[in-house]
Amino acid sequence: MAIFSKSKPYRGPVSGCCLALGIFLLTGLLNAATAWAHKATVFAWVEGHRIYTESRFSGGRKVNQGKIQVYDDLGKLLLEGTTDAQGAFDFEVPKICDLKIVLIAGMGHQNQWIVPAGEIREAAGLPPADKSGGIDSAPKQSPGPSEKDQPAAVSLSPEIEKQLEKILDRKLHPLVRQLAKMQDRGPSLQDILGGIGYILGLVGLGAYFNYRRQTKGEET
Amino acid sequence: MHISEGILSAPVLAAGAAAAAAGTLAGMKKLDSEHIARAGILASAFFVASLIHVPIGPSSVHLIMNGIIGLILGWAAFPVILVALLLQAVFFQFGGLTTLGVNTCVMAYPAVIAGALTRPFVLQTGFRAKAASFACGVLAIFLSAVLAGAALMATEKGFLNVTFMILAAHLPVMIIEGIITLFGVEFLKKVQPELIGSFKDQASANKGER
Repeated sequence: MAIFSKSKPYRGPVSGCCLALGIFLLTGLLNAATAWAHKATVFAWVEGHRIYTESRFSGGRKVNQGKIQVYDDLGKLLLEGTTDAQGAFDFEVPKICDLKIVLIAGMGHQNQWIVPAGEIREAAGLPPADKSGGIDSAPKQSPGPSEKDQPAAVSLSPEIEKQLEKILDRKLHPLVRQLAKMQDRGPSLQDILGGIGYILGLVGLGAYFNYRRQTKGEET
Repeated sequence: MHISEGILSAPVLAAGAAAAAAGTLAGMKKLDSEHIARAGILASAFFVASLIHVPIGPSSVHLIMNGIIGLILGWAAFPVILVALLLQAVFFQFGGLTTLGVNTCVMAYPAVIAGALTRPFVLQTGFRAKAASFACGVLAIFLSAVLAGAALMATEKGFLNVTFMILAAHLPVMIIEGIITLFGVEFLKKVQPELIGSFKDQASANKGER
Protein backbone atom coordinates (compact mmCIF):
# COMPACT_ATOMS: atom_id res chain seq x y z
CA MET A 1 0.00 0.00 0.00
CA ALA A 2 2.18 2.79 -1.26
CA ILE A 3 0.12 5.67 -0.08
CA PHE A 4 3.05 8.02 0.18
CA SER A 5 4.57 7.34 -3.24
CA LYS A 6 4.75 10.51 -5.29
CA SER A 7 4.70 8.73 -8.63
CA LYS A 8 1.00 7.96 -8.27
CA PRO A 9 -1.19 10.80 -9.44
CA TYR A 10 -4.03 9.88 -7.09
CA ARG A 11 -3.16 9.08 -3.54
CA GLY A 12 -5.44 7.27 -1.17
CA PRO A 13 -7.97 9.58 0.41
CA VAL A 14 -6.39 9.01 3.75
CA SER A 15 -2.71 9.63 3.15
CA GLY A 16 -2.82 13.17 4.50
CA CYS A 17 -4.63 12.05 7.57
CA CYS A 18 -2.18 9.18 7.98
CA LEU A 19 0.70 11.59 8.10
CA ALA A 20 -1.13 13.90 10.48
CA LEU A 21 -1.95 10.96 12.72
CA GLY A 22 1.68 9.89 12.62
CA ILE A 23 2.75 13.30 13.82
CA PHE A 24 0.18 13.29 16.58
CA LEU A 25 1.17 9.85 17.71
CA LEU A 26 4.78 10.82 17.82
CA THR A 27 4.24 14.02 19.76
CA GLY A 28 1.84 12.19 22.02
CA LEU A 29 4.38 9.55 22.83
CA LEU A 30 7.14 12.08 23.29
CA ASN A 31 5.01 13.99 25.72
CA ALA A 32 4.00 10.83 27.47
CA ALA A 33 6.84 10.76 29.89
CA THR A 34 6.48 14.33 31.07
CA ALA A 35 2.85 15.19 31.23
CA TRP A 36 -0.58 13.62 31.07
CA ALA A 37 -3.67 15.65 31.45
CA HIS A 38 -7.24 15.63 32.39
CA LYS A 39 -7.95 13.44 35.28
CA ALA A 40 -7.93 14.41 38.90
CA THR A 41 -7.05 11.84 41.53
CA VAL A 42 -7.18 11.89 45.29
CA PHE A 43 -5.31 9.53 47.57
CA ALA A 44 -5.73 9.28 51.32
CA TRP A 45 -4.02 7.45 54.14
CA VAL A 46 -4.26 7.33 57.90
CA GLU A 47 -1.55 8.13 60.38
CA GLY A 48 -2.49 7.93 64.00
CA HIS A 49 -5.67 9.92 64.46
CA ARG A 50 -5.31 12.01 61.34
CA ILE A 51 -6.16 11.33 57.73
CA TYR A 52 -3.91 12.80 55.08
CA THR A 53 -5.02 13.36 51.52
CA GLU A 54 -3.11 14.29 48.44
CA SER A 55 -4.77 15.46 45.23
CA ARG A 56 -3.29 15.94 41.83
CA PHE A 57 -4.18 16.19 38.17
CA SER A 58 -2.93 13.37 36.05
CA GLY A 59 -0.26 15.65 34.62
CA GLY A 60 1.34 15.52 38.06
CA ARG A 61 0.24 19.06 38.80
CA LYS A 62 -1.05 19.44 42.35
CA VAL A 63 -4.67 20.43 42.81
CA ASN A 64 -4.46 23.85 44.43
CA GLN A 65 -7.61 25.11 46.15
CA GLY A 66 -9.55 21.97 45.33
CA LYS A 67 -12.49 21.10 47.52
CA ILE A 68 -12.35 17.97 49.67
CA GLN A 69 -15.53 16.53 51.11
CA VAL A 70 -15.59 13.69 53.59
CA TYR A 71 -18.65 11.46 53.81
CA ASP A 72 -19.40 8.61 56.19
CA ASP A 73 -20.69 5.23 55.06
CA LEU A 74 -24.28 6.48 55.15
CA GLY A 75 -23.48 9.31 52.77
CA LYS A 76 -23.62 12.03 55.39
CA LEU A 77 -21.23 14.94 54.87
CA LEU A 78 -18.87 15.04 57.85
CA LEU A 79 -16.47 17.81 56.95
CA GLU A 80 -15.17 19.91 54.10
CA GLY A 81 -11.85 21.51 53.33
CA THR A 82 -9.62 22.95 50.64
CA THR A 83 -6.31 21.65 49.45
CA ASP A 84 -3.19 23.77 49.78
CA ALA A 85 -0.67 24.54 47.03
CA GLN A 86 0.82 21.07 47.48
CA GLY A 87 -2.57 19.45 46.90
CA ALA A 88 -2.55 18.28 50.52
CA PHE A 89 -5.32 18.41 53.09
CA ASP A 90 -5.44 16.59 56.41
CA PHE A 91 -7.99 16.28 59.13
CA GLU A 92 -8.73 14.56 62.44
CA VAL A 93 -10.59 11.27 62.05
CA PRO A 94 -14.20 12.45 62.41
CA LYS A 95 -15.82 9.06 62.82
CA ILE A 96 -14.68 5.49 62.75
CA CYS A 97 -16.33 4.00 59.71
CA ASP A 98 -15.62 3.69 56.00
CA LEU A 99 -14.88 7.26 54.97
CA LYS A 100 -15.49 8.42 51.43
CA ILE A 101 -13.20 11.28 50.47
CA VAL A 102 -14.39 13.20 47.45
CA LEU A 103 -12.18 15.60 45.57
CA ILE A 104 -13.90 18.33 43.57
CA ALA A 105 -11.20 19.94 41.49
CA GLY A 106 -13.46 22.23 39.49
CA MET A 107 -14.32 22.38 35.79
CA GLY A 108 -15.93 18.97 35.88
CA HIS A 109 -13.10 17.13 37.60
CA GLN A 110 -14.06 14.90 40.45
CA ASN A 111 -12.74 11.74 42.01
CA GLN A 112 -12.98 9.83 45.26
CA TRP A 113 -11.06 7.59 47.58
CA ILE A 114 -12.42 5.34 50.28
CA VAL A 115 -10.56 4.88 53.54
CA PRO A 116 -11.76 1.60 55.03
CA ALA A 117 -12.76 1.56 58.68
CA GLY A 118 -10.22 -1.18 59.37
CA GLU A 119 -7.38 1.05 58.31
CA ILE A 120 -8.53 3.83 60.60
CA ARG A 121 -8.87 1.45 63.53
CA GLU A 122 -5.49 -0.05 62.92
CA ALA A 123 -3.78 3.31 62.70
CA ALA A 124 -5.47 4.54 65.83
CA GLY A 125 -4.50 1.36 67.65
CA LEU A 126 -8.06 0.15 68.10
CA PRO A 127 -8.94 -3.53 68.00
CA PRO A 128 -10.61 -4.63 64.77
CA ALA A 129 -14.38 -4.52 64.67
CA ASP A 130 -16.70 -7.50 64.33
CA LYS A 131 -15.97 -9.47 61.20
CA SER A 132 -19.71 -9.64 60.50
CA GLY A 133 -19.83 -5.96 59.61
CA GLY A 134 -21.62 -3.35 61.64
CA ILE A 135 -18.41 -1.40 61.77
CA ASP A 136 -20.32 1.76 62.35
CA SER A 137 -22.10 0.52 65.46
CA ALA A 138 -18.91 -0.43 67.28
CA PRO A 139 -18.41 1.96 70.16
CA LYS A 140 -15.32 4.07 70.42
CA GLN A 141 -12.75 2.46 72.63
CA SER A 142 -9.83 3.96 74.35
CA PRO A 143 -6.74 3.72 72.21
CA GLY A 144 -4.16 1.16 73.17
CA PRO A 145 -3.18 -2.30 72.09
CA SER A 146 -5.24 -5.24 73.25
CA GLU A 147 -2.82 -7.75 74.69
CA LYS A 148 -5.14 -10.70 74.72
CA ASP A 149 -5.34 -10.75 70.92
CA GLN A 150 -1.64 -11.40 70.59
CA PRO A 151 -0.60 -13.88 73.22
CA ALA A 152 2.67 -14.77 71.50
CA ALA A 153 3.88 -11.21 71.05
CA VAL A 154 6.54 -9.92 73.31
CA SER A 155 4.78 -7.39 75.47
CA LEU A 156 6.27 -3.93 75.17
CA SER A 157 5.58 -1.16 77.54
CA PRO A 158 2.95 1.23 76.14
CA GLU A 159 5.53 4.01 76.17
CA ILE A 160 7.89 2.21 73.85
CA GLU A 161 5.04 1.09 71.65
CA LYS A 162 3.84 4.66 71.23
CA GLN A 163 7.33 5.84 70.40
CA LEU A 164 7.72 3.01 67.94
CA GLU A 165 4.50 3.92 66.23
CA LYS A 166 5.55 7.53 65.91
CA ILE A 167 8.91 6.58 64.42
CA LEU A 168 7.32 4.13 62.04
CA ASP A 169 4.82 6.74 60.91
CA ARG A 170 7.60 9.17 60.22
CA LYS A 171 9.68 6.59 58.35
CA LEU A 172 6.74 5.34 56.33
CA HIS A 173 5.47 8.77 55.39
CA PRO A 174 7.67 9.21 52.30
CA LEU A 175 6.85 5.67 51.24
CA VAL A 176 3.14 6.33 51.41
CA ARG A 177 3.63 9.51 49.42
CA GLN A 178 5.52 7.53 46.83
CA LEU A 179 2.61 5.13 46.70
CA ALA A 180 0.25 8.04 46.19
CA LYS A 181 2.32 9.11 43.24
CA MET A 182 2.19 5.63 41.77
CA GLN A 183 -1.60 5.62 41.95
CA ASP A 184 -1.47 8.07 39.14
CA ARG A 185 0.26 6.39 36.27
CA GLY A 186 -0.68 7.88 32.93
CA PRO A 187 -2.04 5.72 30.16
CA SER A 188 0.51 3.22 28.97
CA LEU A 189 1.57 2.49 25.42
CA GLN A 190 -0.63 -0.60 25.56
CA ASP A 191 -3.65 1.55 26.36
CA ILE A 192 -2.95 3.86 23.45
CA LEU A 193 -2.28 1.14 20.92
CA GLY A 194 -5.23 -0.85 22.23
CA GLY A 195 -7.55 2.09 21.68
CA ILE A 196 -6.29 2.67 18.17
CA GLY A 197 -6.65 -1.02 17.49
CA TYR A 198 -10.31 -0.87 18.51
CA ILE A 199 -10.88 2.07 16.18
CA LEU A 200 -9.25 0.22 13.28
CA GLY A 201 -11.40 -2.79 14.07
CA LEU A 202 -14.54 -0.66 13.99
CA VAL A 203 -13.45 0.81 10.65
CA GLY A 204 -13.02 -2.70 9.33
CA LEU A 205 -16.45 -3.69 10.60
CA GLY A 206 -18.01 -0.62 9.04
CA ALA A 207 -16.26 -1.26 5.75
CA TYR A 208 -17.43 -4.87 5.81
CA PHE A 209 -21.09 -3.96 6.31
CA ASN A 210 -20.85 -1.28 3.67
CA TYR A 211 -19.35 -3.77 1.25
CA ARG A 212 -22.06 -6.36 1.96
CA ARG A 213 -24.77 -3.79 1.44
CA GLN A 214 -23.23 -2.76 -1.84
CA THR A 215 -22.80 -6.29 -3.17
CA LYS A 216 -26.35 -7.15 -2.13
CA GLY A 217 -27.58 -4.08 -3.94
CA GLU A 218 -25.74 -5.16 -7.07
CA GLU A 219 -27.15 -8.69 -6.94
CA THR A 220 -30.78 -7.65 -6.81
CA MET B 1 -13.18 19.21 28.84
CA HIS B 2 -14.01 15.70 29.99
CA ILE B 3 -16.61 15.88 32.73
CA SER B 4 -16.09 13.23 35.40
CA GLU B 5 -18.65 10.81 36.77
CA GLY B 6 -20.77 11.73 39.73
CA ILE B 7 -20.99 15.48 39.11
CA LEU B 8 -23.95 15.92 36.81
CA SER B 9 -27.53 15.27 37.75
CA ALA B 10 -29.57 12.57 36.04
CA PRO B 11 -31.66 14.94 33.84
CA VAL B 12 -28.52 16.57 32.45
CA LEU B 13 -26.98 13.16 31.78
CA ALA B 14 -30.14 11.93 30.09
CA ALA B 15 -30.46 15.05 27.94
CA GLY B 16 -26.82 14.75 26.94
CA ALA B 17 -27.23 11.09 26.03
CA ALA B 18 -30.33 11.81 23.95
CA ALA B 19 -28.69 14.72 22.11
CA ALA B 20 -25.57 12.66 21.48
CA ALA B 21 -27.65 9.75 20.18
CA ALA B 22 -29.48 12.07 17.75
CA GLY B 23 -26.20 13.51 16.49
CA THR B 24 -24.65 10.07 16.16
CA LEU B 25 -27.62 8.79 14.15
CA ALA B 26 -27.32 11.78 11.83
CA GLY B 27 -23.59 11.16 11.54
CA MET B 28 -23.90 7.43 10.86
CA LYS B 29 -25.95 8.14 7.77
CA LYS B 30 -23.04 10.10 6.34
CA LEU B 31 -20.58 7.31 6.90
CA ASP B 32 -20.48 5.44 3.62
CA SER B 33 -17.56 3.36 2.43
CA GLU B 34 -15.85 6.46 1.10
CA HIS B 35 -15.69 8.17 4.45
CA ILE B 36 -15.36 5.37 6.92
CA ALA B 37 -11.59 5.11 6.61
CA ARG B 38 -10.97 8.80 7.16
CA ALA B 39 -13.45 8.79 10.02
CA GLY B 40 -11.46 6.02 11.66
CA ILE B 41 -8.20 7.85 11.23
CA LEU B 42 -9.64 11.05 12.64
CA ALA B 43 -11.06 9.06 15.54
CA SER B 44 -7.57 7.78 16.26
CA ALA B 45 -6.21 11.31 16.03
CA PHE B 46 -8.84 12.58 18.47
CA PHE B 47 -8.20 9.64 20.78
CA VAL B 48 -4.49 10.43 20.95
CA ALA B 49 -4.78 14.22 20.88
CA SER B 50 -6.12 14.23 24.43
CA LEU B 51 -2.75 12.93 25.56
CA ILE B 52 -0.97 15.97 24.22
CA HIS B 53 -0.80 18.13 27.25
CA VAL B 54 -0.50 21.89 27.14
CA PRO B 55 1.55 22.91 30.16
CA ILE B 56 0.50 26.57 30.07
CA GLY B 57 -2.33 28.12 31.99
CA PRO B 58 -3.88 27.64 35.40
CA SER B 59 -5.13 24.09 34.95
CA SER B 60 -3.97 21.09 33.01
CA VAL B 61 -5.53 21.02 29.58
CA HIS B 62 -4.91 19.08 26.42
CA LEU B 63 -5.57 19.26 22.72
CA ILE B 64 -9.05 18.35 21.55
CA MET B 65 -8.89 18.69 17.77
CA ASN B 66 -12.64 18.87 17.31
CA GLY B 67 -12.44 21.85 14.94
CA ILE B 68 -10.57 20.09 12.18
CA ILE B 69 -12.66 16.95 12.64
CA GLY B 70 -15.84 18.94 12.16
CA LEU B 71 -14.35 20.67 9.14
CA ILE B 72 -13.46 17.40 7.43
CA LEU B 73 -16.35 15.20 8.56
CA GLY B 74 -19.36 17.41 9.24
CA TRP B 75 -22.02 15.42 11.09
CA ALA B 76 -19.90 12.30 10.87
CA ALA B 77 -17.81 13.93 13.61
CA PHE B 78 -20.41 12.59 16.06
CA PRO B 79 -19.77 8.85 15.79
CA VAL B 80 -16.05 9.58 15.55
CA ILE B 81 -15.95 11.59 18.76
CA LEU B 82 -18.31 9.21 20.55
CA VAL B 83 -16.12 6.20 19.83
CA ALA B 84 -12.93 8.05 20.72
CA LEU B 85 -14.43 9.31 24.00
CA LEU B 86 -15.68 5.84 24.88
CA LEU B 87 -12.19 4.45 24.41
CA GLN B 88 -10.66 7.35 26.36
CA ALA B 89 -13.04 6.64 29.23
CA VAL B 90 -12.24 2.93 29.21
CA PHE B 91 -8.48 3.11 28.65
CA PHE B 92 -7.46 6.41 30.21
CA GLN B 93 -10.27 6.99 32.74
CA PHE B 94 -10.87 10.40 31.19
CA GLY B 95 -14.46 11.43 31.70
CA GLY B 96 -16.69 8.45 32.38
CA LEU B 97 -19.24 6.09 30.94
CA THR B 98 -22.28 7.83 32.39
CA THR B 99 -21.08 11.20 31.17
CA LEU B 100 -20.27 9.88 27.71
CA GLY B 101 -23.35 11.46 26.15
CA VAL B 102 -22.76 14.86 27.69
CA ASN B 103 -19.06 14.82 26.82
CA THR B 104 -19.86 13.80 23.25
CA CYS B 105 -22.25 16.75 22.94
CA VAL B 106 -19.74 19.12 24.51
CA MET B 107 -17.14 18.26 21.90
CA ALA B 108 -19.08 17.14 18.82
CA TYR B 109 -21.72 19.88 18.42
CA PRO B 110 -19.04 22.59 18.38
CA ALA B 111 -17.15 20.50 15.81
CA VAL B 112 -20.19 20.38 13.52
CA ILE B 113 -21.04 24.04 14.02
CA ALA B 114 -17.50 25.38 13.65
CA GLY B 115 -16.96 23.19 10.62
CA ALA B 116 -20.18 24.28 8.92
CA LEU B 117 -19.62 27.97 9.65
CA THR B 118 -16.05 28.15 8.42
CA ARG B 119 -16.11 25.64 5.54
CA PRO B 120 -17.27 28.10 2.85
CA PHE B 121 -14.40 30.44 3.70
CA VAL B 122 -11.85 27.66 4.15
CA LEU B 123 -12.59 26.56 0.59
CA GLN B 124 -11.50 29.95 -0.70
CA THR B 125 -7.89 30.89 -1.15
CA GLY B 126 -5.42 33.29 0.37
CA PHE B 127 -5.58 35.06 3.68
CA ARG B 128 -9.29 34.59 4.14
CA ALA B 129 -8.99 30.81 3.98
CA LYS B 130 -6.12 30.83 6.46
CA ALA B 131 -8.04 33.05 8.86
CA ALA B 132 -11.08 30.81 8.53
CA SER B 133 -9.07 27.67 9.34
CA PHE B 134 -7.61 29.36 12.39
CA ALA B 135 -11.05 30.55 13.43
CA CYS B 136 -12.43 27.03 13.04
CA GLY B 137 -9.95 25.63 15.57
CA VAL B 138 -10.55 28.50 18.00
CA LEU B 139 -14.33 28.52 17.63
CA ALA B 140 -14.70 24.79 18.26
CA ILE B 141 -12.87 25.03 21.59
CA PHE B 142 -14.74 28.20 22.51
CA LEU B 143 -18.11 26.57 21.91
CA SER B 144 -17.01 23.45 23.76
CA ALA B 145 -16.11 25.56 26.77
CA VAL B 146 -19.50 27.25 26.67
CA LEU B 147 -21.31 23.91 26.41
CA ALA B 148 -19.25 22.43 29.24
CA GLY B 149 -20.13 25.50 31.30
CA ALA B 150 -23.80 24.99 30.51
CA ALA B 151 -23.61 21.34 31.56
CA LEU B 152 -21.86 22.23 34.80
CA MET B 153 -23.87 25.29 35.73
CA ALA B 154 -26.29 23.36 37.91
CA THR B 155 -23.54 21.86 40.04
CA GLU B 156 -20.95 24.63 40.13
CA LYS B 157 -21.07 28.33 40.78
CA GLY B 158 -23.28 29.59 38.01
CA PHE B 159 -23.00 29.47 34.24
CA LEU B 160 -20.87 32.57 33.66
CA ASN B 161 -18.46 31.73 36.41
CA VAL B 162 -17.75 28.18 35.25
CA THR B 163 -17.66 29.11 31.60
CA PHE B 164 -15.23 31.91 32.26
CA MET B 165 -12.97 29.57 34.24
CA ILE B 166 -13.00 26.94 31.51
CA LEU B 167 -12.38 29.55 28.83
CA ALA B 168 -9.45 31.01 30.73
CA ALA B 169 -7.93 27.56 31.16
CA HIS B 170 -8.38 26.72 27.50
CA LEU B 171 -7.10 29.99 26.06
CA PRO B 172 -3.69 28.53 25.19
CA VAL B 173 -5.34 25.44 23.74
CA MET B 174 -7.58 27.62 21.57
CA ILE B 175 -4.62 29.38 20.04
CA ILE B 176 -2.62 26.19 19.58
CA GLU B 177 -5.59 24.43 18.00
CA GLY B 178 -6.16 27.39 15.73
CA ILE B 179 -2.58 27.14 14.52
CA ILE B 180 -2.76 23.36 14.14
CA THR B 181 -6.02 23.64 12.20
CA LEU B 182 -4.49 26.34 10.02
CA PHE B 183 -1.46 24.26 9.09
CA GLY B 184 -3.42 21.03 8.92
CA VAL B 185 -5.90 22.53 6.48
CA GLU B 186 -3.16 24.14 4.39
CA PHE B 187 -1.41 20.80 4.23
CA LEU B 188 -4.56 18.90 3.29
CA LYS B 189 -5.41 21.45 0.63
CA LYS B 190 -2.08 20.76 -1.02
CA VAL B 191 -2.19 16.98 -0.84
CA GLN B 192 -5.88 16.12 -0.55
CA PRO B 193 -8.02 19.12 -1.44
CA GLU B 194 -11.18 17.00 -1.74
CA LEU B 195 -10.97 16.13 1.97
CA ILE B 196 -12.07 19.59 3.00
CA GLY B 197 -15.00 19.91 0.60
CA SER B 198 -18.50 19.14 1.68
CA PHE B 199 -19.88 15.67 1.22
CA LYS B 200 -22.03 16.70 -1.69
CA ASP B 201 -19.06 18.10 -3.58
CA GLN B 202 -17.14 14.95 -2.93
CA ALA B 203 -19.95 12.68 -4.00
CA SER B 204 -20.36 14.49 -7.29
CA ALA B 205 -16.60 14.58 -7.84
CA ASN B 206 -16.41 10.85 -7.23
CA LYS B 207 -19.22 10.19 -9.66
CA GLY B 208 -17.42 12.31 -12.24
CA GLU B 209 -14.32 10.16 -11.85
CA ARG B 210 -16.21 7.00 -12.51
